[in-house]
Amino acid sequence: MELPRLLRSARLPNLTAWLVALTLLLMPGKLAAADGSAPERMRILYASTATSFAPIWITSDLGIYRKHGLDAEAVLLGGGPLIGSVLLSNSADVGVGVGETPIRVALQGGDMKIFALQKHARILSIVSKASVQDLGQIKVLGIQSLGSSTHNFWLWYARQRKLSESQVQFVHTNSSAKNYLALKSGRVGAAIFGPPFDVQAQQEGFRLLVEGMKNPQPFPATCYFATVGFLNKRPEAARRFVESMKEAVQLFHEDKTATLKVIERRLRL
Amino acid sequence: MRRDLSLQYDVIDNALAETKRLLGAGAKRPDYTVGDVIDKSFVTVVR
Repeated sequence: MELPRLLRSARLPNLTAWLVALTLLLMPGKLAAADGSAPERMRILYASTATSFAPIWITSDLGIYRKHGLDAEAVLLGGGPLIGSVLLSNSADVGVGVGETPIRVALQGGDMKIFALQKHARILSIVSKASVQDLGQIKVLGIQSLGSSTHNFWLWYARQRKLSESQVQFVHTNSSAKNYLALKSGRVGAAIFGPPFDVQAQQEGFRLLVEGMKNPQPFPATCYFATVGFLNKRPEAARRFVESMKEAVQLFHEDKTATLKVIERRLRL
Repeated sequence: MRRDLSLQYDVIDNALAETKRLLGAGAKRPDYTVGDVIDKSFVTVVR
């Protein structure tokens, strides 16, 4: 099967989800805390590499989870649909990503709920090579995956502009960083991603057809969600997770030096 | 990025409406409201 058709296949995300779930189950747990207490084990899944996810990296890199009694492991998965599938398989505990993921699961009969909201605006840019001057000229578009925030963002814009949904051929890239690299390499004619890559791309001569910072949409862009089963059985773990993330968000706002160091290290800037 | 992590119903409702529109007739729970997709147990923790 040729790659574009394979990427559009509905079976691929399910197969990928099972492979990821199997891998996570086989991963060894971490050791107990140094003070002798037994921190609570938690596996967190996050959707992409972007500034929005900096608090997750801050909590991991600066030992904040451990401080709140968690032995947490944060795993990057490519897009919300995959996170939803892995959470439903009980191979992980908490998801961090766009609100559409748990909402879609809930509307389709699954038991998943949002329990905190970190970012309340969708800030995504549609960036193209310089020769593309309008959304209607995009032929090959880089998104994280079908059903992801970037895919839904395109569908929303296409509807606003009355463009045909079949106008573009989608290419899955799994993250904002890889979307940006796909654009740079010429693999796609346009791609959807947010800060800091949109700013960087513009500086390099790419065209911002839609500039996220100038068009923020009220939307649960980054929220925390879990299955109802997890929230009912382990509310204390969920509470510790929220407390950890609150501390990281506070640090994100107040300690720019530490935050930038973490972001630079994680994004390899 | 906000400083607190509290749930904003109007913001979440935007995603609910958008997702319902995308699913169309395929949604198994088309009558779900914001209250059905959030867990209010952590209201005091997230602020």
